[in-house]
Amino acid sequence: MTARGNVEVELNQDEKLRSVLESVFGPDGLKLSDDDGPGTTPVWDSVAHLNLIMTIEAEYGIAFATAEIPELRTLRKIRARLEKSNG
Amino acid sequence: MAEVGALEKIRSAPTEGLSPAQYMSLARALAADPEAQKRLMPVRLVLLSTFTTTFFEPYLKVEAARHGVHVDIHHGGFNQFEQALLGDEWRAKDGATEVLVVMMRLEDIHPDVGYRVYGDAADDPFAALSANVLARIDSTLSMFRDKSKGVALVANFSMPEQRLAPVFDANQASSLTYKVQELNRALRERVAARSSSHVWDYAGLVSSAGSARWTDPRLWALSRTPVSAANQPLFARHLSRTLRGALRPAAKCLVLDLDNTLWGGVIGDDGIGGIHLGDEHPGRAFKEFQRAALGLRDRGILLAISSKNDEAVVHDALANHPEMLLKLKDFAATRINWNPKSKNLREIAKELNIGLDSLVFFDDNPVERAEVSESAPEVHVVDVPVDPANYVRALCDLAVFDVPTLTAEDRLRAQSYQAQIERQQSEAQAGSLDEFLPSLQMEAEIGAWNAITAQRIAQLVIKTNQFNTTTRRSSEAELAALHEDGLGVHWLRLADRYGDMGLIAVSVMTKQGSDAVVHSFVLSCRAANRGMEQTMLGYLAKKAKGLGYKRLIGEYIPTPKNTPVAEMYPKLGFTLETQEAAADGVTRYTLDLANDDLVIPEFVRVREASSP
Repeated sequence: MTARGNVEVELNQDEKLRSVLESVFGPDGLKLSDDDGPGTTPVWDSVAHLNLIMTIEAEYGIAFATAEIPELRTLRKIRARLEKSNG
Repeated sequence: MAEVGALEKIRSAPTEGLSPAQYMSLARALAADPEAQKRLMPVRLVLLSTFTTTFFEPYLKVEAARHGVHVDIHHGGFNQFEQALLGDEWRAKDGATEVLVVMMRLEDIHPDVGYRVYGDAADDPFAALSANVLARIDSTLSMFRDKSKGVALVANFSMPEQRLAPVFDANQASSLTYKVQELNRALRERVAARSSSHVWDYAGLVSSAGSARWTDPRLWALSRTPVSAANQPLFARHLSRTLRGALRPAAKCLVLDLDNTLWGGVIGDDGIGGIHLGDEHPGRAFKEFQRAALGLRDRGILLAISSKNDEAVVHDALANHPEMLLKLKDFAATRINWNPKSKNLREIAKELNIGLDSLVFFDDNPVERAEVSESAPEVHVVDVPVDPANYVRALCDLAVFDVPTLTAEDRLRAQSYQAQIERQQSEAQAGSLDEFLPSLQMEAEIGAWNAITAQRIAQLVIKTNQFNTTTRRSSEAELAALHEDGLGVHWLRLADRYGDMGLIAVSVMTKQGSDAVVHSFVLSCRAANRGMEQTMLGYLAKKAKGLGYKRLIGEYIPTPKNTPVAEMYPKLGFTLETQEAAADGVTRYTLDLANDDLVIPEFVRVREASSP
C-alpha cells in the first residue's frame, strides 16, 4: 500500500467515527475531545454510551465482549480499539 | 430553512434495515421539527415495565411517526407500576392522548420461572406467579383508569428465553409451554373486560422475530434492556402498529388492479386460458393473494377493482375461470375502463360513500401507483413488491386495516353492501324517496349504551367522518363517562326487508341547565337517506321532553368532511341560535320542546331495547 493510500484510509476512518458520534450525540458529538467519555459531558451518559457502542458495532461490523464495553471510557480508547480490530 | 422536513425524511427512508445511527439521526431531525410533529397525532406514551425502556426512545419516535403518531414518552422507571402512576408527572399536557403500556416479563418477576417443574397441584408454583402478575396488572389498570380516559395496552407474556427443557416441554400436559398459554388467555379476559384496553401481542412479536436471538445478553447485563439493538426497530414497529390500530380509524376498502395483481399475465393479450392462476407456479402466488383478499373481505374490508381492461373480458374471466376465487359479487365497486386510476378511485370512494383516505390501492404497476400518489395523495398506495410471491406478505404488513376488535357489523359488512346494491336498484325503480322509504319496511331498535354495544359504539364514533355532527372522537372510556354523567349515549340498530344493517347510529346527549344538548350524532354512511336522523333526534326530543327539559340543542362543528350533516338541524326544524360563530367553533341549533314538533317518521317502526 502506498503512503497516499494510507492517508486516505485514515481520513475515511475518522470521517466514519465522526458521523457515528454525530448521529449518537448530535452536533455536540463533533466537539468531543479524545479525553471525553461517559460522565465528562452531559450528552455522554450511560444510555448514550451503550447507544454509541451498539452503533459502532453496527457500522464497523464488530462485536465487543461484555467486559470491554464499560472499559471503553474515552474516545481515545475507542479509537485505539477500532484501530486494533482494523488490524 | 428550505430543508427537507423530518417527516419526509422518515417516510422516504427504507422500512427495513435502518441502522441505529440512522434511527438516532431521524429521531433528532423530528425533535427539531415542530411543524412535522404537528402533522402527527399527539400521544403521551407511558411505558411501565419490568425492564429498562430508555433505549427504545429513538426507535419508537421514528416508527410511531411512520404510523402517523408523535410520541412524547414517559419512562416509568424500572419495575414500577402502581407507584409510577401515583404522581401526575406522567399525565399528558396540551391535550395529547394518554396511552399506557404495561410490559412484564415472567423471568423478571420470578427469575427461576424457566427452571421449575410444573403440574396441576393447587400449590403449583405457576399458579402463584399467575395470580401475582394478573393482580398487579389489574391494580395498575384500575389506577390508570381512575385518572385517565386514555388507552391501555398490556403486553402478553412471551415464553421465558432461558428454559432447561426446551425440547420436550410441549409433550408434558402441564408444562411451562401450556402454562404461559393459559396465562395469556386469562390476561386477555381481564383486559377485554375493561374499556379502551387491549392486549399488545408482545409474545407474538418475540416468536415471529425469533426468541433465540431476541435478547442481546450484553445489553441485558449492562442495562436491563431485553431487546437487542438489531431487534429494537421490530419492537418499536410492532408497538407503533398496535398504537395506530388502537387510536386511528382503519381504512375501509382495498382497490385492486387485475393483470399481474389478481392473476399473472395480461388477460386482454393472453386470453382467459393464458393467464396464470392456480395451485402451481407461476399461478400459485396469485391464487394465494386472492385467498388473502377474500380474508380481508371477511373482516369487513370492502373490495373494489380499478383496471385498464375490457369490461366484458374481465366479467367473463371472473365468472368462468375455474381457479378464480374472487367473483364479481365480491366487489363492492368496479371501474374497468381506460381512465386514469386516480379518477376511478375518486369515483369508487364516492360510490361507496367513503373518504378517499379510506382507500388502499394495490397495483403491480409502479407508473399507476405514481399517478395515484400524485393525483389522489389521500389514497394509501401499497408499495407492491416486485415478486408476486411476496404479495400476501405485503397485505399482512399493512397497518391501515388493523382494528382492535372485529365487531358483528364488520363480519356482515360485505353482505350488507350487497344488500345495499339491491336497495339502490329498488330505489332506482321507485319513483320518489317518498314511495321508496315505506317500501323498505324499516324497523329500528333504539337502546342505551351498555357493555355489549360499547365497542361498536366507540368504533362508529372513531371512524365516522361524513355523517358526524361534531367529530368529537370520544374513546370507549369517555363514552362510558358521558353516558353516566349526561342524558345517555344511545344507539340505533336498523333492519329492513333486505337485511339487518346492525348498529348504524349513535347519539350522545348531555345536559346544561334546562337544556338537553346533542353533543354528538353519528350515522354510518350505509344508512344515509333513510330518515334515521329524524328517527334518532325524534326519539331524543321525546325523551328530553319527558325528563322536563325545555329545549333540545343540536351542536355542529364543521370539518372538511362532514358537509352531509351541515343542514341536518335546520332541516329537522331546529333554529340557528345566533348568526355569529361561537368562540369555541360550535354552531348551536335550538328546538323548543314545548312548541316544536319533531316526530319519528311514519315509515319507520321503532322499538326500545329493554334495559341491560
